Amino acid sequence: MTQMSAANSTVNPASFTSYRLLRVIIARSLVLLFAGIALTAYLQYPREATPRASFQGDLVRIQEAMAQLKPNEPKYAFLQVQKAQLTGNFADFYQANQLLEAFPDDRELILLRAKIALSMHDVTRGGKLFDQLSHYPNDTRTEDLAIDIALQQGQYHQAVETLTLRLQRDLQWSDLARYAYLAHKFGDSAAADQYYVRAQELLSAKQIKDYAWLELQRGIIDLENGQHPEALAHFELANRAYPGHWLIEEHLAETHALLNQPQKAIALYEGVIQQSDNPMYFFALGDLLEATKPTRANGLFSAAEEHFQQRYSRYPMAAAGHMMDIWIEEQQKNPTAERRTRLLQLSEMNLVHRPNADSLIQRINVLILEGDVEAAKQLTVSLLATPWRTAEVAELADKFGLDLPGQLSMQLPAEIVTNQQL
Amino acid sequence: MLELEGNDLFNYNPQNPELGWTVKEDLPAGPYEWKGTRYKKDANGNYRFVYDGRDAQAGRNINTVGFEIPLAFISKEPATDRIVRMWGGSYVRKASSLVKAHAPSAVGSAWLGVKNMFTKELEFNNRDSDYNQVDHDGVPFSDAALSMRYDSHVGVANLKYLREFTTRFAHLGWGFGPSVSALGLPTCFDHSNSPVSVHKTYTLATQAFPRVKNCFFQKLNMPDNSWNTSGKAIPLRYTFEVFLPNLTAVDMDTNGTWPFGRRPEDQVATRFLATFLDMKQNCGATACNVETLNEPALWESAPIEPKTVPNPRFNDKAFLPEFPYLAEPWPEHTTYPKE
Repeated sequence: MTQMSAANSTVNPASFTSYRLLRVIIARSLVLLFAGIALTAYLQYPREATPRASFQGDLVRIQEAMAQLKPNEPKYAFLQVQKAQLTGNFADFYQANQLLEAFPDDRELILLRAKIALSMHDVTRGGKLFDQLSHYPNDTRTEDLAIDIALQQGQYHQAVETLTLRLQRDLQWSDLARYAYLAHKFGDSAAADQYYVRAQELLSAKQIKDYAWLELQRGIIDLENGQHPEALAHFELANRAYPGHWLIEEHLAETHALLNQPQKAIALYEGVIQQSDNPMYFFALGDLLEATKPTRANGLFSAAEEHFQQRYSRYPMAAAGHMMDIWIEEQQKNPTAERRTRLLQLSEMNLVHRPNADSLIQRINVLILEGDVEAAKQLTVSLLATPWRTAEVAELADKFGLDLPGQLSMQLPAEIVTNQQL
Repeated sequence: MLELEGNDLFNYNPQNPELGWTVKEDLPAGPYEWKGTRYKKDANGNYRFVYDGRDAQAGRNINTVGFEIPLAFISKEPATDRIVRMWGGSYVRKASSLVKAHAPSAVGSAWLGVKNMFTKELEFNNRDSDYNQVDHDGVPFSDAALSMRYDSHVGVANLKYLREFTTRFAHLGWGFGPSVSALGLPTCFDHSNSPVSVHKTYTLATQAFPRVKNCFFQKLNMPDNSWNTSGKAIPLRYTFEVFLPNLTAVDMDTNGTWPFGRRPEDQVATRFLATFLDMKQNCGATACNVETLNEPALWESAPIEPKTVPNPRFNDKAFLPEFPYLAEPWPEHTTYPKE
């Protein structure tokens, strides 16, 4: 102790004070430096420019253009199609189709009718309209319809072959996006994402809506692969690029719900159901509110059923196809005789008219619910013969002890993907 | 260049004279194979031009950006470095450039912030990666005809495409050469006296080269000496110098007319066609030159209908003699008539 005191007594008090002061100065300087960097970084964080286009802006533009025209003019019908494509409402599509039918000999408008029919899963009607256009085999838009019909009929190899040829001939972002969609469904999500990014790079500043749609597709890949935070990032980016679109907002809502952020999901769904007549969103919102606001939830379930009936009366295939997954899930939790009958009837109708992998999966799930294991297994064998390799396909193969065949290669030539084309 | 006998797809049809102008028909289902053996002749023994010299863009305005740059701005020795080589391109801003980078995590956001501290915000975004090229041009017409508009073919280092140029020029020669001969004009292309155009492609340049060599290495005659405004001893250009390199080379000691540059009023399509003429021989009374096919007198005496030059001879409105050297715009229309 004495020795220590003796040692301490040798330190110059002035030096010691200076040393401490120096330490304080260095420490505070470092804190200030880091705070400065953090503040500058915050201030420099990329700020979003005012979006060039928005859902509401585009809707108003279309409505204003329609107001300048008479309903019996072909351009009015064309604008109504644009409006329907924006809102996604079946009533708008139905009205558009009625307006288009007034011009039975106009090739351009027949093409639009065919597109509407196919987007509403009506392959029979779409096929008939396609036949009317088959005199124009050199029109790439007729080829678009052929690809769409092949996809809805489950003729995937044919569709992929045509798409590949088209991509080699003339790289278009829409073809690349279709190819990417198939690549993901065929089990190669990484390639799909790469193709979507490449498609985005092909878009000009005037195509910001299409850019947002592609960003949405990238998010859907992550969502379907269970990568919810990554999906959310894509959906938020899409929403910033093209704000206010119900399709983006409903995906945001779905993801927030999956991330256990129900309040954010509820707020978004509340906005979505003001814009869309899709019963799925009424149902999803009802589901989120069922525990806390059962009366409101029941009202939403009723509204969902009402919207389904309205949509079914106009486009039964699309109406049924969209709702089937929800009903299958509901039937597993809370079976009812009415829903059982509906599922059996609609899944069969869907498969007959649109025999692709989606319809097969829905029918198999309905048959499993029904306890008809043998029929479900037989259809699963058919499903495995397609190149569809989603998680559901793997689950079904596993369930029935069937081997999961390998993936169809969806790798495109490097010059297409890496912007090294001539 | 000349209509083919039996080509029902787009030969002139007196019953449907507006086909291709105000009348558009769908391409009928194939096959599209042509089985004829000669050019079409009318009752008077005249061939018929596929072209009629009409200006399809007459009365329309074309967006143009004009620059006038002193030579001293781009050359250290403007008195002696008298050749300026140039090319042009048009670009559109990418959608992706409008969407700011987004990081889903706090760490990612902080990194983006730090990264952005060192990114200069520009008044005019000149980051190449933010644009997609729409079109480009090195040498007008040659860029389309020989370089096939490939992005990779623009610029200085295009000697590596010499094999392609040779096979492509021969391919074009089999189209134009026999037409030129049928009209009684001398051609530099060796088509072995073929009576009609032949669709022929080559894999080996060694097979194509003997047919094109006279064209490649002939001097392109000018109609007179007005192009040489300096009076200096400037040699005539060889054909191969037009497309090697794929840049428009403006000789500042000339008036800049093609192939010594490109003046707005130059009918480059017709002049490029003239590279298939044999410039060592006469076309009529005078030596063939780059303007031969643009001379109405030639066609007056040729066995052909209509007796017009193949392409419009003049702009639909006179170019200004001073900067910006463009024609005054036409009044804007909300819609344009089809003819």
